[in-house]
Amino acid sequence: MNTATVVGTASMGAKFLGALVLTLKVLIYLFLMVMIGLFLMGIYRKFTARVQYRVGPPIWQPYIDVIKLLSKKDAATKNWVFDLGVIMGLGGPLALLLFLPLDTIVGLNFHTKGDLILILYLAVVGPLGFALAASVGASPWGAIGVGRALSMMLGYELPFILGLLAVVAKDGTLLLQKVSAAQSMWNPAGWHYFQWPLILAAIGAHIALQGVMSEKPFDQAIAPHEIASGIMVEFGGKYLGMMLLMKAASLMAELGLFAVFFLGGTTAWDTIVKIFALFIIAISFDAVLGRFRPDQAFTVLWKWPTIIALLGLLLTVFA
Amino acid sequence: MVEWLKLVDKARSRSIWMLMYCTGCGAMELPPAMTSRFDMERFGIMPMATPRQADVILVTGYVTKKTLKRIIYAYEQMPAPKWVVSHGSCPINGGVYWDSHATVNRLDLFLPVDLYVAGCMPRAEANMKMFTELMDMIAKGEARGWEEYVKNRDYYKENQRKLFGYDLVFTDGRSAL
Repeated sequence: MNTATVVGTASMGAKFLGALVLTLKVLIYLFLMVMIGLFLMGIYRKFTARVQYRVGPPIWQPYIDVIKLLSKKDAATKNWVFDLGVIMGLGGPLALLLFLPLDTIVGLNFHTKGDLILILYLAVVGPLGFALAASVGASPWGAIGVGRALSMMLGYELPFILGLLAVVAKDGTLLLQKVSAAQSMWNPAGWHYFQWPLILAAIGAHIALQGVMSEKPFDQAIAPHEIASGIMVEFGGKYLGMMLLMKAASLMAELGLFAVFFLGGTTAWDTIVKIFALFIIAISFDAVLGRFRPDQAFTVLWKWPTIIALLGLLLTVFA
Repeated sequence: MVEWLKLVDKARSRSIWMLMYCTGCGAMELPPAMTSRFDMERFGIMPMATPRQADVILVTGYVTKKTLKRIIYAYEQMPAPKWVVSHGSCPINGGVYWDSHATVNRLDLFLPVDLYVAGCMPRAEANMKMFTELMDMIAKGEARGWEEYVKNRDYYKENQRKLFGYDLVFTDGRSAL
């Protein structure tokens, strides 16, 4: 009896230690991902400046911005829903990141359990939290921004999910691990992006990805020149700092999801390389394009990428 | 702790987001400072769309009684630490509108001005000088106007009351800080 108690406490201690290590690993992983996401945003600002024939800020500018914003003395809050929305907005993409193969960077293996259904649910938590906070912000610009953001979400999710479904139909699995295992890591011919019927789905989803990341021409929700930065209008100080962190995390999550489904992202390092490549392509379009009107953007998204992705899906299923 | 505060001050000085309250002609000289010729973004300076996101409010041009109310509302919505720049001769001493019945000649009676840029209008070079000066002041922790506004709240509110004839209350009932 005595020994049994000792064994019991020992295993409790080991369990506690294991949980502690796991928590630590998760925190380090999320921190790393947010840092890489902020680095991407630095590249974005430098790149855009160069396209506009300017010198541009240093590449570590987003880190400076986040330090400044989080060190602001006071933050104008509205009520507890406002706070909750901001936490939801940051938590959604962080939870999504846990189920991408990027987590092998610290030796986690949550991604073996992540499937598409779970990820699609988690993907909307961030934008919805953001919209929740913005709509209690009581600014008319914020309300317009929320309306635009939600209608854009409806617009880009259809082609994006159709594209992902084509891959699911091809591989016959919803698990991310199996989807990435069905592709080669570095040989482009083995990627879903460059296989015949799937290339249509990939192109459709890639156009929609521009909307998912809310880069131009699909950045109606945060149009600073039209609606005073839309959903961001009531966020200042620490809240805006958290929004920058959310933007960084969701960049990694969205691009990582696309890289896993179409570019064969298997481990952390090759996925990160592919994320950088995808991001450079996205910001090249962002730097030279204008912004659609909300109705135009919705029409465009439900017309061209949807038709292309649907064609890819049908050809994959029936041909 | 002191080292950490220095780092924070440094970060604040390298990431100034401005709210351009362009009341008059001063707005004209800011685009050259923003675009490829002078490119203020290489110092991390960016225009922002709303007071909530801004660190510095640029009052560029004459201040009428009506606009002053909006300027004060905008200023009080900004999260501290925050700075005010009085840009051009009109907010400094009235400029060419010094004897108008509608304009306010001195902005610094109503808001704590950190930096003045004289000129009618200050050119883009003067703007860049102003920004580098402001960056130095913030990095050294010298620009403390937002603390003055809290400390001398009675003085500023009394001046505002004398001008408008009533108390200017912040719209959502919150105090200025």
